[in-house]
Amino acid sequence: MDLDTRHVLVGEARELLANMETALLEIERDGYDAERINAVFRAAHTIKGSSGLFGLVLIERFCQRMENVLDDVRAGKLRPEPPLFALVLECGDYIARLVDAIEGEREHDDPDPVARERLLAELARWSGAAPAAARSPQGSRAETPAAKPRPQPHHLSMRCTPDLLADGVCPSAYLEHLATMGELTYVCTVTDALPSRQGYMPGQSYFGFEVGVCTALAAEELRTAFELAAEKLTVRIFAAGTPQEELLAHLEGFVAERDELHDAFYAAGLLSPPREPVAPEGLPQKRATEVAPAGSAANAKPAEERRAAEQRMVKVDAGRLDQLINLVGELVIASEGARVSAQNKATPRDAMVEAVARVTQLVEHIRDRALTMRMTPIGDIFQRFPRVVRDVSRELDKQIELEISGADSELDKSMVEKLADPLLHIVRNAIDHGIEPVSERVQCGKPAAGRVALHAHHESGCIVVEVRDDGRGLDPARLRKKAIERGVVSETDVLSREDCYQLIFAPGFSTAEAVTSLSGRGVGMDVVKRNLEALRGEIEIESEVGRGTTFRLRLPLTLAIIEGFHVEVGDTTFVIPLDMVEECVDLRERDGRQHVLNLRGKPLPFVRLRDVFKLDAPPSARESLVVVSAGHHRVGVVVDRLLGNSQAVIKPLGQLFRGLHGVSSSTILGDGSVALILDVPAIVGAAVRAAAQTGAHAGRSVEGASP
Amino acid sequence: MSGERPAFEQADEAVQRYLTVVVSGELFALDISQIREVIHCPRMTRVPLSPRVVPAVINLRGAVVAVIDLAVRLGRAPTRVGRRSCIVVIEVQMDDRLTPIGLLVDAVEEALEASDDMALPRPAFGSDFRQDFQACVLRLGSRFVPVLDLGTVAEAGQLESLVRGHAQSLVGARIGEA
Repeated sequence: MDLDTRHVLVGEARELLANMETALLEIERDGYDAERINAVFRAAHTIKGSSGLFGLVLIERFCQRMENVLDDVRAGKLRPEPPLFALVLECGDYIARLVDAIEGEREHDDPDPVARERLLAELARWSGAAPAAARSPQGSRAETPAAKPRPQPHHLSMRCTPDLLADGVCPSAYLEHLATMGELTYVCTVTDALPSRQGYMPGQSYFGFEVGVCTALAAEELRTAFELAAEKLTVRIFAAGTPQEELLAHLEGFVAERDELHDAFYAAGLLSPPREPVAPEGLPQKRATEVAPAGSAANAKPAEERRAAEQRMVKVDAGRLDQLINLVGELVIASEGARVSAQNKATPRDAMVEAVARVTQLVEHIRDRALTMRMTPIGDIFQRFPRVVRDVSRELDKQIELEISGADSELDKSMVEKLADPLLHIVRNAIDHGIEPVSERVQCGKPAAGRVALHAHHESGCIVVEVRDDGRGLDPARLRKKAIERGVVSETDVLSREDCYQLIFAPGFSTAEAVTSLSGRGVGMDVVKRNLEALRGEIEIESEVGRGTTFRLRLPLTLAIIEGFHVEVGDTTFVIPLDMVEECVDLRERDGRQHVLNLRGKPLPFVRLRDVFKLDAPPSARESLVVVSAGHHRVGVVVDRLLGNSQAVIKPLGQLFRGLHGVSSSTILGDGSVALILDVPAIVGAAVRAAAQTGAHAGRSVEGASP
Repeated sequence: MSGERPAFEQADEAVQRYLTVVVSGELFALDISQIREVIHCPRMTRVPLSPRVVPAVINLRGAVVAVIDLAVRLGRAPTRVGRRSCIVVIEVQMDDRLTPIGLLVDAVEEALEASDDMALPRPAFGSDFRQDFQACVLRLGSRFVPVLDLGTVAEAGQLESLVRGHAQSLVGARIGEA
């Protein structure tokens, strides 16, 4: 299987699994209905089909068993009961792990044999519960038992491209796949594509197959089953009831195999001597070319094609594209204007400046528009939450209502993915720690079901994501007490209400009395905070005891461009992300002795960039101090000169410099040289630790010295 | 296959093209098919805490590209950038894709063609740099010029661990844990 196909297969399977999950959750919430169970069935069926195509037996067999059970539900043989859907949900999780394995090219190792065993046993128990009515061998599409079609003979003419083997696909996989859908009545290998000795290339496959299959599936469904392999495999289907002339015309194309096929057609009942009916009673005759797609397969085909295409593409609003192209058109004209005025020696300087300004402005507009192309709605991650909330609330035996709004707010595609984990953690925490147990809620006069709301909106160049719960709220006094116990803060520290809330982000801090399997181990919130800082985001907490807590995440819309503050050490320019800069202070000489400085009565640890980076440039006579903040630490960074701020397009430094400390990425300056962007959280952490180790008493003496 | 003369008349596969470069005063050859471009040494930005072997990055038409000092990689003293200094841009597998990387050399001499029989297997001993950096030796008249194996010289994983090791030795775990 080549990489592209693998990619498509995995992407498609994940999307189907997501659809399945949505449908299952809807069934749980709103009750069973035929359309929803069809959606679940469709997902299982399609995953089975495409995995079978590539010989991924682990997935294929599992889906098969699941499909059988679902089919019984659809046929009314099994009662749709909640435990069954819970089981199917779990099956979906297991399939998701199999899909992960395919992505990691480990498709033949079972990621969790124990779970597989258990799930299969449970599925078997359910299908055993169905009345022992004859079940068609392989997931039939019948809506009711009565309408289940009888197996029909079909003839398939299959031709593969010669480079099939190079992609690691064996043509026999197609046959095996076909065998899962019905009984193979004959297989005739066609060798007419075999080149003469000269053109023969070992390692290429020249075989075609003429195959008869006896199946209850309609021709269109057979076609759909091979759709994913369409690049490598051409399938022509002669369904049951294809006029004899057409079949005979097909036979004319063969020389060596004609007689053999002719006999096989007769034996299978495709070509009939007068005494046999062409098509069994009750089924209208259909020609292969105009078979009306039956049932669910009708919508499946275009939908799947569309999905496969989506995997490798980004959806862009047509209007946005037009705007961008219009701006590029303007830019072409403006730059031509600038070129002409630059060439003309008589052009006054003012006109030149104006021409350049026009170009610059257009470039900025184009940059902004281009960035919007990468925007995706945050709903892409919000949609995972109903499942999470369901699972967590079950495990904790709490009732939760999830409310989602603002799912169409957009942010950079790369950010959306990185935001998922932190958000998940916060929501889990809200349910675990925030929402009270039902009994406690009723006692307080609150509704039994707790509410968790996810909300997103844009606010001055940022996206704000809120996680709101109506639980017990955070108690500053309790947080403080806990933090003192844990040694996070000392008795004497004066903490504001906000400071107390921020304590939950301290490593090793947990307020839950009982440690649950979900949270309460104190790992998590500090990681959440760190991950958000890596996205240059910040997190804010609002809370009222007894009324609930709101976590407010504020993130930039994109990571591609930042507002940068330029500083210089020696002759090297560094860029500090401006949103981490708090203020700049002139450094007096006598302040520079210790690692801690007295800033308006408060101790401020600081580092010299020259020392951090071991720069050997001679020390400068005057120095400046930039106060930066990360988390709730503030640290001074001493540099030689301040150069002011401007926008910086972030360029990654790449693999080689991954192990480097204190530098996160780079940008290109107006003069074409490269400047490095400081990794502020890393530098702040280092400075805080250094101050704690070497400057603890120095800090106190500075504090003591100040009036 | 008697001699090195009629290189142009010979079948294509017997001829390889090489670029000879000067690294700390010595002549080395690079396989031209691996080279993307050669540029005059632009302004380099020193990367702090990075070892001398990958001392800097440059702006290559908007992309930030790491520079390997070939002299240091071969165990010589760091290159001093001068008027004839050049950067030979090659592509290596990095971050799961082909990424350009620059090789800093004293000077680029000439592009030449050499038939297969001019390329001799690398000697088992006698060179003063890592043996696996050498793909083969070119016999050019009376001189023997080592051909560098760029796949090994510029292997990203090795360079990455060199940078990591150097940065850690300089700052200890001080910044690393942040």
